[in-house]
Amino acid sequence: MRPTRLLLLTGLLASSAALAQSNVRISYEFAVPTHETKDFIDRFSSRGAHLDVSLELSYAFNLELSAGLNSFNAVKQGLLTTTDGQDVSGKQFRYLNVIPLMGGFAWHIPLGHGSRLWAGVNGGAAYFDRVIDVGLNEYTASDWQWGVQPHVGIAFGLDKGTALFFDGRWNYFWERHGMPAQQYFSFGVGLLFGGSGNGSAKSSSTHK
Amino acid sequence: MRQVAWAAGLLLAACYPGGAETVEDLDSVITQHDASASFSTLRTYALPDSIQGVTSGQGQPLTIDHSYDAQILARVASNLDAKGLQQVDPTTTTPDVDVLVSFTLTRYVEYVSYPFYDVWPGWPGFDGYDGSWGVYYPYAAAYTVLDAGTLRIDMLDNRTPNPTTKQLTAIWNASMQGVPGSDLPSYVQRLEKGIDQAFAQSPYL
Repeated sequence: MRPTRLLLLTGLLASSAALAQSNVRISYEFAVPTHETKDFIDRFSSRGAHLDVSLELSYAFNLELSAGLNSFNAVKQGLLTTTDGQDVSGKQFRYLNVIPLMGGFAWHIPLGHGSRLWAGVNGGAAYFDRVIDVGLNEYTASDWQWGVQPHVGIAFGLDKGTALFFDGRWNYFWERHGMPAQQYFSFGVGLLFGGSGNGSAKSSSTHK
Repeated sequence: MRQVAWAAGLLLAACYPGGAETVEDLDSVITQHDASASFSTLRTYALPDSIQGVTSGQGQPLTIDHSYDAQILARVASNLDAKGLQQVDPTTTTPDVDVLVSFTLTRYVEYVSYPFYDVWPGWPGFDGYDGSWGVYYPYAAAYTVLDAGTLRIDMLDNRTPNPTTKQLTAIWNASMQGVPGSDLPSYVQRLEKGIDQAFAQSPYL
């Protein structure tokens, strides 16, 4: 079973390498919480990163594999009611770390000279690690939550198959095990590797 | 390019959350209550005129300074009075509840061994060792010390004693937790603020 999977993966990677639109993207990300996530932590995150691998399956249609980290923190004053019935007041130092692991599809539109536009939807899960420090006590709640991640991006070709890109994602995760639904927008800036300008032009002309 | 990377690194480091910066940041007030208790029918309470020291099951108990007991008890009494309860003398009248105030002062000491190789990676003096090595102390080496204080208020219900189990039910409990610090008058002020908060966050009383 394992060699079969390895063969399939190798085949997929080999074929994708031949396709000019396949690429790897690494980005720095900031994020803005909304809805229930904002209720928990009302402050934007300046600490985040994403790694995306995009494999062209057919012309302009890509398989997307995505992993990231978004770290939020905020200070809040107020009353915290714990699950075991305690009412706790004091300065709350709140932390939320989200690790989304996603897969999906996207359409990549080549613009020539290594530039491109893309839009797609990822699905998967994210690990939410919530921590509240109050006084000398720490309260935690962590779990995986299923979600979706529509995303768009634009890349501007630099040289040698690299491009500077900007992207945006809406991250939505459904309620699970009593944890409320989570939502936040994330915006990234980073470098795209692969999908050279020459390759894109060649690929485009083949299909015209 | 290297300067840009350094600037980005410093920017990210500057954004990293710092947590508590003063001893006041470590103050917290925790209240709990018996949801089945009848708080609306409470009329009278009795309050001993001293704060008793209680030792914690962990850490080293420290000596408690009782010079501010009267001030703290007066603050508790004024909050109970403000809730419409009347203080009574238990020698003449059986109160609905006994309100007991106790204090725990504990020193927590943590003894830590650490992977020295990872802390000073690549130092030539560690040639022949690697990250799997640690430090053994043949004696108690204090590494972390924290003094923690908890002022606790228990409200015991005299209306519902259980003779079978010989227990009174604590229908309300409040804990003012924090790090005392070196300034005792300032710490007492923080405790008084905590007492006010405990009653403020207990609207059912």
